[in-house]
Amino acid sequence: MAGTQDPNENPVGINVVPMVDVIFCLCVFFMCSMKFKELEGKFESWLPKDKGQSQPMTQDMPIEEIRVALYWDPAKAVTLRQFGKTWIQNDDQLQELIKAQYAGYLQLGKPETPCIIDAAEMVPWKEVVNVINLAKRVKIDKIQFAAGKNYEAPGAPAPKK
Amino acid sequence: MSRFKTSDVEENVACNLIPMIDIMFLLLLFFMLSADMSQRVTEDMKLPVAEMVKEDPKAKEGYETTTVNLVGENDNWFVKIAGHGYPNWDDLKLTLNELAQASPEPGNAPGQFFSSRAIMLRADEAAPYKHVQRVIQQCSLVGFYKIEVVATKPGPDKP
Repeated sequence: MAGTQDPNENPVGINVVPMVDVIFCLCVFFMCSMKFKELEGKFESWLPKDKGQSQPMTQDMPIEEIRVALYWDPAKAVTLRQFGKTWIQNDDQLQELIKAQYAGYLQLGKPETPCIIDAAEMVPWKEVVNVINLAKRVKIDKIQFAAGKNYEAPGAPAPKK
Repeated sequence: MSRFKTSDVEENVACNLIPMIDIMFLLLLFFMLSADMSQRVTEDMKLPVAEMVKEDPKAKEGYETTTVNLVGENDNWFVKIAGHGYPNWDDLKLTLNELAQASPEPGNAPGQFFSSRAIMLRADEAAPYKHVQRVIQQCSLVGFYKIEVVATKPGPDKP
């Protein structure tokens, strides 16, 4: 512990300078490697256990879904969003449309109506997560991803690079 | 006769290093304890932002979790699990299959297999959806059905 450096008190002097150097180096190392981890969270999305990737639809089957389509415009490098026949301008508009349609299903007693995200191959993941986020804001529990190309099917082409 | 009286006692001006060493040890201890070694399973990437995510993905929920990172840039996207990269999708499928087989879900019906392990999917916000979709497809094929999509909460620098 801290004490006097009187040589008369402790005749065997220990040179602490190398130790200080080493501790400095260790401090610098840990300071540089220290990273403030950003707060992460998760959306749980359990895959269906009793269904295939896509269900065959019959013509008389009523469509009970909230579908958001995401397209990629390579020329402008932007994502285009479509809800029904409406092209979406901003998040608020999309959220209102989802909310209104979901409210209709709630009135019909169908709270399990899924929100289906139908995204094109090149749409950035953040745009898909953004739509999940909007659906969660209006308290939709069931969020599904539309089955796209089956890359794991025998003979299926690998995703284009 | 001298104008100034010289001191007979030689002053000791040695710097006392002991308090500094004490403080340095405390600092070292702080940095060592705060170093997050769990980052070995997660990769540095820019995650998508979503304020509705459930916080604390490390919370124990009664099942094991494997973190699958989808990293890359431009057109070169690949999966990393526990620091090991899988540029080949077939290798990834084998590894996922081994992981799934190691933790079968109790009560699997004959002829079907599901794993009780969850997959925590951390994909870069710029990753094209087709790669994310393919990872989910591979997970589904080997028996994983618990998929967790990771995002960050918006902060002061993330609107």
